[in-house]
Amino acid sequence: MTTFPMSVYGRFQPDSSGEVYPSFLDVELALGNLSPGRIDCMVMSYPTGSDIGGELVFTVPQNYAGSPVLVIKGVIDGTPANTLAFGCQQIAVADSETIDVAYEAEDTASNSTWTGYADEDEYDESITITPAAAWNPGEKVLLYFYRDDDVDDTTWNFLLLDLLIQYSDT
Amino acid sequence: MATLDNTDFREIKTISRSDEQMWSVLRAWGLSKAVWQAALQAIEDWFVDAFNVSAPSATIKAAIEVETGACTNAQANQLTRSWIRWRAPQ
Repeated sequence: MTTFPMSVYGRFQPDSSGEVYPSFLDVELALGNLSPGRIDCMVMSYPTGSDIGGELVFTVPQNYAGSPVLVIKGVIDGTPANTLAFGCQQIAVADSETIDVAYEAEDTASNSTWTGYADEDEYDESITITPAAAWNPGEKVLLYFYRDDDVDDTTWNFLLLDLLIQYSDT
Repeated sequence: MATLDNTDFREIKTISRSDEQMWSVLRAWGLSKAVWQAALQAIEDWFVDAFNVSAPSATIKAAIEVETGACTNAQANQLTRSWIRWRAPQ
């Protein structure tokens, strides 16, 4: 049994807030070395009163065995300070089950210790996902990922570069 | 005198992001969201007090520093600009 990462970033769609939007690193950052820097990213603005993020859908792989983790990879766009907080909610939908179903309770992760980090550093975070019932291979999982307004008290953007579902395979 | 709400803060945030000078200062400052919001409220309150018969009790910068602690002129200037652009859109 090994840990297997599966990128789901390509399926991520921003919400309607206007505060999560596609951009490029050379647009968002004052790059001095990376050139030309036309690397796509998803700008996640700091939340002001409500969660901001987006949704995605993926199929549970056939070699899925358990222990799902949402791995978040991005760039700090400002002086790293205060608490950066993320949340996710998910629901698995099987064949012949309705797609119109509420997300389960959120799973969260946050960080307020920035020793060793600086502006424009890459930053990774992980959220342990706790589905009410184990995902089954072949099921669709709908997932809502966001900056958690209840906890996040930063005043800088987070530039999302990748989202992965990490899991234990069979 | 208005109490700024989340809608106001979102608008000011959008304005700040659209201006290179404002955004450069805000992103580097390291303020917490609560302190940033309190500083903007302090600017709002200061301008309202300026129209009273009695003079405001402090400079804009001093009013900001009550919330943020000591700040540079550039920080006070850009934060105030963001409030002004929000209050008086072109």
